[in-house]
Amino acid sequence: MIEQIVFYLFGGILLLSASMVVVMRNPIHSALFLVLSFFASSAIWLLLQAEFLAIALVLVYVGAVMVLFLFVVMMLDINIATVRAGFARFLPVGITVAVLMVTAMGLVVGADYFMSDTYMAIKSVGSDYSNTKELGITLYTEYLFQFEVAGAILLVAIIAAISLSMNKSKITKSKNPQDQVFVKKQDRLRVVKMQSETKGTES
Amino acid sequence: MPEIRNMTMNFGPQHPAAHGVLRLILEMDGEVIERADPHIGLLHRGTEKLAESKPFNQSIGYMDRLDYVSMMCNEHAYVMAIEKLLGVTPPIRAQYIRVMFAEITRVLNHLMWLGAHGLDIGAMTIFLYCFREREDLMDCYEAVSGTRMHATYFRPGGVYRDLPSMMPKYEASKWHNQVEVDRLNENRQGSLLDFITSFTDRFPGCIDEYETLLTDNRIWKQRTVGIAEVSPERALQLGFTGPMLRGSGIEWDLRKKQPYDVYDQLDFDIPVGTNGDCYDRYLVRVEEMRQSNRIIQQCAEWLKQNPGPVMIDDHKLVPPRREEMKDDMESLIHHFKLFTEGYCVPKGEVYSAVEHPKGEFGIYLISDGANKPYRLKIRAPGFAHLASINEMVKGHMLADVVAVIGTQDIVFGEIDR
Amino acid sequence: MLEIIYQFISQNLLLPITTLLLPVDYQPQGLLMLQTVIKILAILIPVLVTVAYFTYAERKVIGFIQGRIGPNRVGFFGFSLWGLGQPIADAVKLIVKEIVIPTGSNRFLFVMAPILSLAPSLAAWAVIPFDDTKVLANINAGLLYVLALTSLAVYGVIIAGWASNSKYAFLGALRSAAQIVAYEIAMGFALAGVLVASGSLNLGDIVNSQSGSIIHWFWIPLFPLFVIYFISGLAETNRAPFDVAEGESEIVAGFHVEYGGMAFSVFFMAEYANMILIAVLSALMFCGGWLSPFQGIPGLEGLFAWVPPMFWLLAKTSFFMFLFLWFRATFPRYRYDQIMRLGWKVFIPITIFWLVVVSALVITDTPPWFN
Repeated sequence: MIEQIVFYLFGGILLLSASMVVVMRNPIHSALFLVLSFFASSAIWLLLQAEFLAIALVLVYVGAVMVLFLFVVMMLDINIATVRAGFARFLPVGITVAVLMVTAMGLVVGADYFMSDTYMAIKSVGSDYSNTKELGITLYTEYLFQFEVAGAILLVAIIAAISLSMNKSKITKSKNPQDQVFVKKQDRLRVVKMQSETKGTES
Repeated sequence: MPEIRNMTMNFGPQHPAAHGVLRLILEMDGEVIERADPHIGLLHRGTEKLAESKPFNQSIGYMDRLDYVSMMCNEHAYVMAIEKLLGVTPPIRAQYIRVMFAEITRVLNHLMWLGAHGLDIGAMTIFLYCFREREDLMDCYEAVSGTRMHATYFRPGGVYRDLPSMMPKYEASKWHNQVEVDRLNENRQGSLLDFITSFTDRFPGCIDEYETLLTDNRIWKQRTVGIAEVSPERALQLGFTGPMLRGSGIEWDLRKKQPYDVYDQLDFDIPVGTNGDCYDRYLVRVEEMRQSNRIIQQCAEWLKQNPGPVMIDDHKLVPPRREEMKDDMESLIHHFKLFTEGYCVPKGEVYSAVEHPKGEFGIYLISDGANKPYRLKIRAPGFAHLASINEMVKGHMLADVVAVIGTQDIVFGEIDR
Repeated sequence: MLEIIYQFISQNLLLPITTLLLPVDYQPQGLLMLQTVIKILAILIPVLVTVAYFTYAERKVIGFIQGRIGPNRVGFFGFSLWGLGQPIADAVKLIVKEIVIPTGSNRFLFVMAPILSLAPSLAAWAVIPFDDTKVLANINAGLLYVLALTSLAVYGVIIAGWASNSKYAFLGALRSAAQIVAYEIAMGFALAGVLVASGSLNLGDIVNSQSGSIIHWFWIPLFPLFVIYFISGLAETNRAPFDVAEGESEIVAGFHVEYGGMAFSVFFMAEYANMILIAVLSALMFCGGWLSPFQGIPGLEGLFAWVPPMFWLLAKTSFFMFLFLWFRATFPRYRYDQIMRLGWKVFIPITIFWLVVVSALVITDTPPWFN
């Protein structure tokens, strides 16, 4: 009963916020609705007792990815009018792609999962069961190769992004902290003994 | 693809690190400064023009308010300019008092600078440590002139009055009981000179304390070493003086090169930096405090042993004693003339410069023989320093702007005048 | 003691309420909910009181370090009581102040931002165990939960900076976002070290796996991670010397420059609640949590057996909280790029390296920690 209320509540929030991502005029608002939809989906995962996945979703997507996303969106002054200019022209193409994707997903997932009578019940497990551990074991044994490949691809992407955005032409006077820290007072300061020049040189 | 534009930011005049009313227009590429454009004039009071309409003595008070953290040094230059035109020399004791107070002022200024510079870079404890010692020096100002800041103590022909033979003491209150007050009054039992001596004995230890907090602190070094480097050639070309010039490695100090008052009879050394960055200027100023402390010590020693007059005995320039004025007609006339008309200064022009804590503070005075200056021009060291801010901060980051403003020791009273 | 009070409230207050108000079918669930609310209050009220008096402690401690006395005027009933009334006076002042919403700002997000910043820092307390039994939600992935929630705090900062429509606030928000993301990684690796060492994500298990004596605590085998965790915690909470997001001498007050009154004080509370959270986590993960430091020392262990375990946790937490204040009074502020360098080029490599070392120690069953 309560679980159903929670499910429909978060399911509703998820659908609503996901559509708001597309609808909102202000890109910042869109990004924030995306954050909300991540939250809602992580809550649904929690209902499925997949606490590791739920928390990882929040940690990775909400805590890191979306922060950087917001960061970029805030700095770019996106002019919504020019973005929306070609809306009508691209609409048929968009709809075609959307229909194609939905069909493809329907074919892949199949009718099995959408029929409520074949809906898989959650395997009930004891409270000491840790799906983190299970996930780790599966990931690092059965899917080790795929995991490593994914890691390598991400690394390449990081390096590519850094090398693309490196901008050497800037004039900065930034210093190497290593050199700064090893500066010593006695190397820098001289206390000069000076004879006073005679009075009367003035005027 | 929108083109990437620089960000313009308005730094001040209400910014907490703008040291008064500095307004900087910063053009930044991200956090890197591309251009810094200082705007001045928000504290302009027209000191130079005001001085043209007042007898010479009445402008001394305006000098205090120029660089309002090194009051007596401003007075010193002005008073010396008038003395030069008049051709009078103050008594030797007055000269010693002036030098002592000029050095106390230097310590006051450098303490203020060190505290504010530290606070700008984020070290807030140093600020309160500096103010703790500053308080004692302020008390010396108060003891000798009655005010803590705008002393008007130096006068043409000497100083306003001799050093007091006792220090004012704290009194017990709701918040401080007798025991606490007795502890506070411990070094106030003797004369002002005893108080100053006890301060100079204690002060080197205090400087060590500040240095422990900052000099070898990794973060402090990362924030100051290599920031706003100025080569010796550029420093000369930009018109730097004082610690800014010495920080770049140039051995120049007016107290040695053109000694005035009794500086040629005192033993002190000149600290000089190497690279001309914020760290060097910091080291130079801290060492200057130690040297000033030595000078104060020597002066206090001399003053204890050599009593004497502190003012020339010429009632055309100096008001007569109060009781003489009540009895004696001539004194009454002198008094009246001095306080209404002032004194006339021979025709001529003069430039007198002192080694102010911030650099060379000069007074250029033209007299047409009247009782008021025909023209007074103030050479404020901070003005030349501020003018270089664009060159100093270009290519550094926003946080370094604050460090540079601190290292230039900007006080707007003298820049805007 | 706490258990007795809780049982009393549960029996005499909550049970009658549920039996009176709810139909029979929902009574157990309703009771559970009310009990949870009571437990939440039992955690949050002390946390918020600590936040209030932490500000007082900060002013006092920094005052003494700087040769001042700190607040000493506001007290109760005409007694000054060393200024103990100060936090309450401050709270009253902030509550009655007007919240000025700047023109051109995004009104809704402007008001939301402080709430977004306070909520995660309080929600994270759900999984903090206070001793062997006292924990609100004893979940398996407690460590991950804490990490996830601390990473959410940045939203309040970013949104505040953007919604304020001010350049200073915006710069502060950008600085803070970059800084928190960078230190999140170092912090995550430090926690991964704890995870490897203890073999559990549950905070209670982590503490229990440190039992033995003071040298069994993880601060010895994980010493670099311990230091890095605490420093990253300083950076995460935007405290000196990493307070560039609100560095007052550079960008005035950073992201909360436009906030006043209660809106500002909610940011303030979030910052202090986060500091306490970091302190308690450091105590739990590296310093044996509620375990007595005299454990395993023959004579002393018995001598201090009467001390409730929670006392040790609170004592350790207070020590870490004191460190926050001490650092603030001592260090100058880093520059923004230096913070990023420290995070990316120093901390992350060290944590990765030490993770390998810890794994090696665990695999080889190195005594006395991993046998």
